[in-house]
Amino acid sequence: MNQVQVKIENITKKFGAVKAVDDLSIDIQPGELFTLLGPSGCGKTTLLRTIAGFNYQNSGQIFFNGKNIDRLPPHKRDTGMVFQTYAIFPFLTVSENVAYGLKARKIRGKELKEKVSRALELVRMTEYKDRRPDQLSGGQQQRIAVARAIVIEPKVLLMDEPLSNLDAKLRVEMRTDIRHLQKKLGITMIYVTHDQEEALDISDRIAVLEKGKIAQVGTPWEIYQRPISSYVADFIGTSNFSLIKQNTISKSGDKFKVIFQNKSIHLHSDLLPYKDDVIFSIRPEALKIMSDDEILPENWFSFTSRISETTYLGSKFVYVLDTPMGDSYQVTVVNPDRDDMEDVGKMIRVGFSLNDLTIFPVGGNS
Amino acid sequence: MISLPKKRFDIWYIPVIIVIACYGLFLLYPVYNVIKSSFFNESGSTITFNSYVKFFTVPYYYRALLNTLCLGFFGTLIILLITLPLAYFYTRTRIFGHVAIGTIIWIPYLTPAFIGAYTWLILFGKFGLVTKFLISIGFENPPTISGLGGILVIFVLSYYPFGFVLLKGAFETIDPSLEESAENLGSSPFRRFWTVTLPAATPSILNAGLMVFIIIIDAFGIPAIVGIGVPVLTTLVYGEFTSEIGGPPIMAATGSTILLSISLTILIIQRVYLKKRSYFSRGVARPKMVNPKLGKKIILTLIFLIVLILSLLPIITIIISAFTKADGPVLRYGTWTLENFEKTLYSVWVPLKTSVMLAFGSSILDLLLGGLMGYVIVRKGKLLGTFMDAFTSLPLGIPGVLLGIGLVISFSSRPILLAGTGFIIVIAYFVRRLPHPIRTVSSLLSQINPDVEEASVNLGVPPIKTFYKVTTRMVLPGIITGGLLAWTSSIADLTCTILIFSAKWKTLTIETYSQIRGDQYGAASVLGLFLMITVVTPVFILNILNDRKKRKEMVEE
Repeated sequence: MNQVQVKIENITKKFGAVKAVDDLSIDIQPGELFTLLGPSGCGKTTLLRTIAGFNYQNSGQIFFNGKNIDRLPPHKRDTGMVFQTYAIFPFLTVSENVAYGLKARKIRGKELKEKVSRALELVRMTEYKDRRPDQLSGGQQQRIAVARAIVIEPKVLLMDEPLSNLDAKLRVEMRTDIRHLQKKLGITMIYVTHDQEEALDISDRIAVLEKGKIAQVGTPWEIYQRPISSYVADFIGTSNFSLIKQNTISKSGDKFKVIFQNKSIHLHSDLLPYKDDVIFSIRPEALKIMSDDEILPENWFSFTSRISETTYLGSKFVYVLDTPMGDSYQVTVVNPDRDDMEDVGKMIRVGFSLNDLTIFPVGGNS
Repeated sequence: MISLPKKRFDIWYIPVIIVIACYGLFLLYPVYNVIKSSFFNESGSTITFNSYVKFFTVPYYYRALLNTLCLGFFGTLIILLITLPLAYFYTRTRIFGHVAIGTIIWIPYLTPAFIGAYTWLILFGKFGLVTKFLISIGFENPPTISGLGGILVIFVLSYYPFGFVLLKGAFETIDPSLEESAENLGSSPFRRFWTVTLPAATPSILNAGLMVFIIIIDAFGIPAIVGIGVPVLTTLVYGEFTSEIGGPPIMAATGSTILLSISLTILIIQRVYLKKRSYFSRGVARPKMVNPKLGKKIILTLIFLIVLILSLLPIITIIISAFTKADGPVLRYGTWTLENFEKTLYSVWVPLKTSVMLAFGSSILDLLLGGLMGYVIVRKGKLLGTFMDAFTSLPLGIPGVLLGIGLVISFSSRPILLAGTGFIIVIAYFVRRLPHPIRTVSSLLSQINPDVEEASVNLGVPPIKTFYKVTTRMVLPGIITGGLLAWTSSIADLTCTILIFSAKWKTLTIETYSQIRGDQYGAASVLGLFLMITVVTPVFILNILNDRKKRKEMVEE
C-alpha cells in the first residue's frame, strides 16, 4: 500500500475570536499511528476536522505526501473518518453501509462485493452483513464505522474519539483491534482522544495539545517519562509536584544543592538549566516505601512523611502523604500484601531514584 | 501565507430566495394592501382612521370583535379544561384499547370543521334528529345550537382533538426523572401532579392554548353555518367584502386587520415568551405508564369511549344522512335511498377534481420547499436559520380571510392579473401551509446528528448528492407527514378559498358549503362524505404502508 505522509504547517483555525487551533505544525510519518491528545476544548477535534476538510483553516497549509490539499473539498480528500457517534447510515444494511464509499468511487459488481466482504472480515462482522444498524450493539456499530472507513483505502484514517461511547472493557478490546488493523494495513492514522491511557496504549507518537498549541510531541514513553511541562505531566497520568524556590538552590562544585523535603539533595547541573523557581515532579509509582534501616541505593533520595489517607484499588494500594514541605504526595504500591497497608497517621519512609525526578520551570515550557 | 479559496455562492440561497420572494409577493404584499386600504377613505386619496372609529363605535361591528374574543377565550379555556385530564390520564394510565382510542380521537381534527358543524346542525338544528326526538318525548323548548353558546359547543367539539394531541405531547415529553424524583422525595401522586407535572407542562399547555385560540378566531365555516345572527370577525369580514364590491373593501379590510393584530400578537407571545420556557427532556425516556385497578380502568375507558363517540358522531351522521331521503333541510331518517347519490354524483366530479388538483399541486410545492427550508433552518448556520424559522412561520399568524381579501385586491388588475385563476388558489394554499412541512422536517432533522451527513461527504459523495442520498432519506417521514398535513388542511380549507375561488375553480368545500347554505342537506351530505374521503384517504394509505413496512421488518428479524 502507498503510505502517506501528512504535514501540517502553521495551521490556525479561529471560531469568532477564539483560536481553536493556534499556529500548529506537525509532521506525521507514513504508516504512523499518531494521536492528538488533550482535554476537551484543546483543539484536537478541530484539527482533525480541518484535515478532513469540514473546517477550513484561517491560515496554514496541509500536505499529503508533499501535495497541498487545501483546495480540495472534503469529498475529494480521500480520508476515511470514524466519528465519535459512529454516524452509521440508519437506512442501509451493514454491507450497504460499507459499500457506500466504494459506490461513490464507481466500484461495482464483483470487485465491490469482494472488497466489502474483506473489510467485514477484517472487523469480524461478516455474519452481520445483512443486519440493519439498529439491530447492532454500540461495539458492532463501531466496527462497521471502521470497516466503512478502511474499505475505501483512504490516504489517511481519521478517528475522532471513536471509543468514547463504549463501556470500559470493550474500549480496551477495541483499541487493541484498531491498533492491529492499522499495523496490518500499514495505513497512516490520526487518532483523537482525551483518554491518556488509550493514547499511551495505541500510539506510535502522541501530540499533547493545550489551548490549540502543541504542549509536547513524542513517543508514549517520552510523554510519560519525560514530560517537558507540568501541564503534560499532570495530564498524562498522575504526578506529585513540589515548588522549589530559587533561593533554596545553591551551587556546590559542579553540582547544585537543593533543599528538598527539608533535606539537601545534590543534582547534576544538566538537570537544572533554569534560573527561576522550578517544579519537581515524581510519579506515584516511582516512589518506593522503605524501612527505616534500609540502605539507600546510589543516586537515590528518601524522606519521611505522615500518611494522611489510604485507598485500596484491588491491583494497587494508594497512600496520600503529607510531606515535610507541606505537599500532598501520592504513592502507589502495586500488588499489595496485607502487610504493605499501613494505617493513617503513621510516619513512613519513601525513596526514589533521581532518574525518576523530572524538573520543569514554573509556568510551563515557554 | 497562501490565499484561501473564497466561499462560492451557496446553492442553498436559491430556495431561500424563492421562499422569500413567494412570501413577499403572495403574503406580505397582499397583507400590506389590506392594511393600507383600511387606513384610506373611499376614494383612496387621504389617510384616515374613520373606519376604525366606525368599527369601535357601531355595535354591528364591535359586537363581532367581542363575539370573536369571547368564543376564542372560552372555547380555549373549555378545551384545555377537558383535554388536560384526558391527556394526563392517557399518557399515565393504561386503558382498554389504548392505541385504538388514541388514533380514533384524531378523526374530528381530520374532518373539515365546517362539516362537523353541519352534522351537529343535522342532529341539533331546527329540523335536527335529536331535536325532533326531544320534542316527541315532550320537551317544549329543546336545547338548540343556535346563538353564542351553540357555536361555543361546536368549537369545543370540533377542536378538542387538536388540544388533546398537543397536551398529550406535552405530558409525554416531560422528563420522567422529574416525576420520579418528586416521588422519591415523598410526594403523593396528587401533590406530584400539582407541584411537578403541571408546572413542567405549563409552557406547553399555554402553547396549546394559544394555538387553539388562533384556530378558533380564524375559523370561518363553523360560525358561518351555525352562527347565523352571531357575527364574528371572519363572517363579518366575508359579509362586508362580498357586499362592498364596487368600492374599496374598507370595512372588510378594517375587520381583518383587527383580526390580524390579535393573531400576530399571539404568535409573537408564543415565539418570544414560550420558546425560552420549555422543559422538554432531550432523552428518549417516556413517562411511566401505570396499569390501574380494574374499576378505575373501566371508568377511565368509559370516559374515553364517550369522547370517542362524540368524535365519531359527525362521520356516522354524515354517512347515514348521505343515504337518507332528504327534502331540503329535512332528512327522513329510516328511509334509505341512493337518490342523493344519483342526483349529486354528476356534480361531485368536477369540484372533486378541482380540489384534488389544487391541493395536490400546493402540497407538492409545500413538501419540496418545506423540506429544503427545514434543512436550511437546522443546518445552514444559526443566523440564517433563526431568521428563516421566524419568517416562514408568519402565515400561522395571518388569518385566512385576510389573505383571501389581500390576494383578490392585489391581483385583480394588471400587471399581475391572477384573481379567478387556479394558480392563485394553489399559491394561497402553498403559502398558508408551508409552515407544516418546515416544522416536521426541521424538528426531525434537529434530532439527527450531522455526523451522518459528514460521513457521507467524507466517503466521497459531494454535498448536494449527500443531501438527497442521505439527508432526504432520513427526514423522509417528516417530509411525508408535513406534506400530508398540508394536503389535509388545504383540501379542507374554506376560510381562504371562499374569498378567492371562481366559477371555474369551485372546490369541494365551496360546493358543499353552498349546498348546506342552500338547505340541500341530501346533496350536502354526499358532497361532505366525498370531501371527508379525500381528506382521510392519504392518511389511511400512509398508515397501511407504515404497517406493512413494520411487519416486513419484523419478519426479517
